[in-house]
Amino acid sequence: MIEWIGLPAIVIAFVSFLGAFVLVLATPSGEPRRPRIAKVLLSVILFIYVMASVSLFVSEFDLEQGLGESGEAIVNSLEDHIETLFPLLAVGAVFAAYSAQQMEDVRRAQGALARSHSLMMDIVDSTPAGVLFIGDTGRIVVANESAKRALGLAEDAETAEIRGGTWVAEGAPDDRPGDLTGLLGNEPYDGRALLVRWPDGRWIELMAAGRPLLDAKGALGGVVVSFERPVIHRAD
Amino acid sequence: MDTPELLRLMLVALVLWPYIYVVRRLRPAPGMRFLHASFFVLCSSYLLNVLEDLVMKDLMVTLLLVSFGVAGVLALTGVLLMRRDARSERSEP
Repeated sequence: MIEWIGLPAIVIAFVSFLGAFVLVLATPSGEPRRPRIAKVLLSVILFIYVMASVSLFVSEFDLEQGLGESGEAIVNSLEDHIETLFPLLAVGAVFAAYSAQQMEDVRRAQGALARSHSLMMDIVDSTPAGVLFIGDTGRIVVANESAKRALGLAEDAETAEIRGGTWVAEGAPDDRPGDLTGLLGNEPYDGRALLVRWPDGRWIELMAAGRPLLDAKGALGGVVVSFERPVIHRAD
Repeated sequence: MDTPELLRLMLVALVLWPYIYVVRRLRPAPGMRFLHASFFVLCSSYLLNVLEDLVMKDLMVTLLLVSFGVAGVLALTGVLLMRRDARSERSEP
């Protein structure tokens, strides 16, 4: 039974493992699906199985004698090494594959998150109402296009920091320009009025709705504020 | 059963567990699934290798050789599928 089932099986094993080993070596590494470490481990393990097929073929079909003493010793030592290395390499290959899958999942999740973020920002930017995120210090962290136009803000291309607020809003500590502390609060609100004045005398009244963002301990992290397009009043 | 054989069986169990875990938990891509299946068969062949010394030597050796053949075909199929997936991913705009 060994001869007519085992012999073709071990020849198929040798050819298949050798083919797989050559294909893995011929495939460029660095692809997201197969990082370099996974490629090395896979190559090593496939190579070991090429050698294991040869070793099994030689030992099970009693060909050691034909190899001479040194050949038999090589086959025997190869078998020992295979048995010792096999579990470690197999575990390594599994966890390399596991890590590769995890990285792939993270990459996919990041892509989905970026697309979702981009879509949300497009929606927020296209709305005629002004939308702001005000940090807990009263500084504007995020502003949509309408808010930037209404308040004369600009976004730094490199740091994405919002700049350009020369106006002073009601409630700003020490009349600090560009500060919207007056819109902070731990409770949601609608229709809160806030006067904003420019140094040249122009002013607007923001009718704002705000939703506070609280952290796990209940501390204020900032407020998301939206306001309708304001009318600019001249000094005279 | 002497100590080295017991140790080998324990190692097989240690290796088989992550395969089952990884394949069930991660639902890998088809190519990777074939490779997992290949190594899973190889782990089982390791078990046959241990049993070969204990019972029905001829049958165990035949099964061992057949399992090697099956594992080889699975590994080759897995690698070919992974290459095909990688190629189709690269060709995507």
